Amino acid sequence: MPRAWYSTEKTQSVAKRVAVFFVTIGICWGLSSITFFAPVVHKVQSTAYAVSTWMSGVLTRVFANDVTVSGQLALCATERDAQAERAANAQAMADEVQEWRALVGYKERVGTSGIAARIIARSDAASGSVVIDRGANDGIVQGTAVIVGDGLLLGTIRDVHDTESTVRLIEHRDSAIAAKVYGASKTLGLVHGNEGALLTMEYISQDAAIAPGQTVVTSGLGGMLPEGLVLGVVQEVFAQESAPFIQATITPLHDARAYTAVIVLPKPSLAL
Amino acid sequence: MKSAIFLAIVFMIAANIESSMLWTFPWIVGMFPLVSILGFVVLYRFGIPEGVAWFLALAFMRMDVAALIIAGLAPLLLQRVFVTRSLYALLGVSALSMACGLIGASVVCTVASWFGGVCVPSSFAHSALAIIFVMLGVYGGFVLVRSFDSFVRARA
Repeated sequence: MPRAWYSTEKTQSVAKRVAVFFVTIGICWGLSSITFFAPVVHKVQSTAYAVSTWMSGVLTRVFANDVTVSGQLALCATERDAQAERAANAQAMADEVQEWRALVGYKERVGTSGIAARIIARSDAASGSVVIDRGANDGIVQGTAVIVGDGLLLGTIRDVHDTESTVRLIEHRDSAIAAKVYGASKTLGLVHGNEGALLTMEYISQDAAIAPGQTVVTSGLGGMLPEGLVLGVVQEVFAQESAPFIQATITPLHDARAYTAVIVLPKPSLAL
Repeated sequence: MKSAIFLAIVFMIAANIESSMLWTFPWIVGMFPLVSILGFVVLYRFGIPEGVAWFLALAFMRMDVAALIIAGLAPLLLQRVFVTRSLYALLGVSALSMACGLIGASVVCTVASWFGGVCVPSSFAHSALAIIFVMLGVYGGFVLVRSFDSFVRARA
């Protein structure tokens, strides 16, 4: 009597091989799932994935662009330029953050209100003025102080438009600010711009106590500027016995070209 | 027995290489069906039961309808259509069963999506590339297996 197909040795051998195949796969799968082996399997898989991702990047670079050496060099040059641009942008943002931190620190320390603004245009050195993005609509008033950093006087508001204002820098030749030496109680003289890097302090009385290295600040005379905004440091004092007043050269503590963020202070009487 | 264990380990390694490495490559290289190619080589070298088991394992592991269709169709083609054990027969079985598998999977996928299933059928370009890859891979695998067998016979 012939045996059934499933009971032949050949069929049983095939069934045995297939069963071993599936059981082995099941064991491998099970081992890769249990706590002890899973980290090892995942490590191997993640390493393979990392390697292939890297190779994928290389392949993409090679095949997605010009494969010639000159083409690759051009690609590298483009990427280098883009990287330099990103670095410059990041540096500019960091500088701006630093500026705002200083301004916020000044506001918190002095306890004054003020309007934050950005410099949106710069004039040439001869005119000595900049344009900010706040105007009458934001409450800007002509003649008020514009500061940068930790209380450094940048200039005063010269012209006010609806949405922007022009700031006359302290270096401007028409700028005249009542000033005193830091710590003194009365006005010492007027600080003028010279269309250059240095300022000149005039109308200082012969008996005034002023010496190189002293800090010069606004005196608050006139009512538009608050007292104590830093103008600079006395560099040199010119005294002539025959002249009615002595003169001093002031070095500003800031470079107007280095700032993009300012605060426009209110009139002292309106300050909180 | 040993060959079954060996095949199972090769299957697991190939499946991991495919999912962890090949699928991350840019699209043409990323579509290289390594496990399917090895399945056809196994079908030729080890026999129909092992080949069918290979594609069944692939079908269950990946929920791959195409592999399920290949597991059913390839033995029929080998026994009824491409009966000679030549390279051309293997290429014919591979290309035809792969094409039928992909078409069948696309049909199942489309029908499933009508009933609210989340399934995107593979494009014609994808399917054509997969078939080309399978034929190239099977050709390479066939040559390798032949060379290996000749080497073993020469040593023996």
